[in-house]
Amino acid sequence: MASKRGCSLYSLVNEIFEIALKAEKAGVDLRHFVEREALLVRAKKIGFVPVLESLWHEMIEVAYTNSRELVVKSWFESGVLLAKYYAESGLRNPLRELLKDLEALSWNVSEMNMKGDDKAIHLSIRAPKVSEPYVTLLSVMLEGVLTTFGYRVINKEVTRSFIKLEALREAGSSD
Amino acid sequence: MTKEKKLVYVSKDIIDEITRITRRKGTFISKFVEESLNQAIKLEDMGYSIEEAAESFEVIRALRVLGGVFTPQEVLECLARETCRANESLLEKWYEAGILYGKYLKEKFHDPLLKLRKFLEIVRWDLNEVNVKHDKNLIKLVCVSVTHNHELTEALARFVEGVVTGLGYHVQKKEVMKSLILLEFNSMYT
Repeated sequence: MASKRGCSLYSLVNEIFEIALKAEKAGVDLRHFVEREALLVRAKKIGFVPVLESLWHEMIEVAYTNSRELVVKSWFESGVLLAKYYAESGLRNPLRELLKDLEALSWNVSEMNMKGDDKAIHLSIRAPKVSEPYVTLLSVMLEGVLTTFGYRVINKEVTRSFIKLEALREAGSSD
Repeated sequence: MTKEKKLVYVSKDIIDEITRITRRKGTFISKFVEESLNQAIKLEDMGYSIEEAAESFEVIRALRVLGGVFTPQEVLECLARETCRANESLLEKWYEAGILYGKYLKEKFHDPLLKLRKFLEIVRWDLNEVNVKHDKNLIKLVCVSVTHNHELTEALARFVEGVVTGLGYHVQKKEVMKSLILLEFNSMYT
């Protein structure tokens, strides 16, 4: 690292400690901070952008009321794209990694659980503080994800703050 | 990773400070040292310098404090297209949200205009360029994104206009076209 930056090991190490001390003084946990940065890098890679939550819910309400079909299609397609990206990423368990990242990026979702194996998947999501259209659209996006990974949704339960999806692996599909 | 040790000099002031912190936390100096270096290496591997990461940390913290969500860009564009067409008053909400951000930046930072640029660069990574130029009393802000549709550009322009207003500036000129936002503003008191 020091030779890449063209500085001495002494100055690099001292600089790192100075910044670590600054972070400590500001009450920032360095490990947590780096984890958050890594998440942002992943968000950028998978084409996610941050948006203000209040506007976001307002936009969803209006769009869902006025152009439901188009909006649903857009969410489903983004689930498909997301799944394709992870499927091609060379990860050992791309679906699990995708859901882990999605959970970390969904500050408004309080819990996202995935159980199952190669044959069947059970997904449950709790999001008590969001609007009903948002929960519906999130479930649509997840359907796009599961379909792309070769699963068929056999049971879907969507209420104001809860999503439950059960899916079976389609015969003949592979990762 | 090998556990072989290497001796590197560290200035006494820094070691004193580390000692003070580790004592307070009831941990070892060696643990603090290893943890700091490990995290710095991780950041470097991600293509960040620690200084850049510190900037983005502040910005993301602001986003979290004021309420933010992550969404696929194509979904955001679809929503912007459908909602801006259907509901003009929603643009006003982008403006009002911008004012709130502007006030927050003004309250929190010494150079809020610089933070606004950083905010747009870091949070709106879908923007290809963000530029702030000072020309005597006038300040020019340019945002370029080749991927935004017209509706999203317009919504973002209203948001930025709101931020600038919240910072206490007066917008003199605004040009919005697909993928480009140009704002000229000056202090309300000049």
